[in-house]
Amino acid sequence: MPTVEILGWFVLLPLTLYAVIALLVYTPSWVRGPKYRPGLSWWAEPIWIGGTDLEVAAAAESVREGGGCSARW
Amino acid sequence: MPAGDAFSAGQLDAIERAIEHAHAESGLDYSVFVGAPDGELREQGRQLLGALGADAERSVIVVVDPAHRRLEILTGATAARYLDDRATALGAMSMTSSFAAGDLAGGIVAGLHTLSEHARHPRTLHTDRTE
Repeated sequence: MPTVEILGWFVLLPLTLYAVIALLVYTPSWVRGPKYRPGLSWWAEPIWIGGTDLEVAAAAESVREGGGCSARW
Repeated sequence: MPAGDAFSAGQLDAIERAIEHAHAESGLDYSVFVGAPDGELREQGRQLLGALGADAERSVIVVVDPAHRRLEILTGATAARYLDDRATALGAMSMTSSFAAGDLAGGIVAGLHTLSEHARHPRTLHTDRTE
């Protein structure tokens, strides 16, 4: 068997298969975006969606709330 | 882990749409803070409420701390008339059940939907804003 054919069967083919399987495994999570895993450390910058600038908020005076609740998970 | 974005563009879009929908349904202003502040989470919520100025009265703030698995929902003085503590607890429950499964964005969207459903009320002349 020629060397090129041996390399094709035993190196190129496994590498191609590896790349295809890796792509199939990781593509869904790339599409979905970052995944939160409860119990592991939090990595992201603070974000306030629908609010004002967080720098402004850091200097703001606290206001007593009318109500609400606390929860844990 | 390195710092990055909490949500993908699609997730952010879904949360923003849920906030708009909740506002249209109930007339209250909703916002969601996601981060891991040091200290008491409720105090962080009060500070955020203060940053809203005059809008704080009609606001509902959801404060999510994924690092310590804590959640606070705060209502302004006027918002509390339409959204009592029991209703906020129901909203919190629908959020935390998704959070425990690792779905932050989905939980926030579901929770906002629950909150706005309970806060729905007929428009009142002079007390409700028209926009």
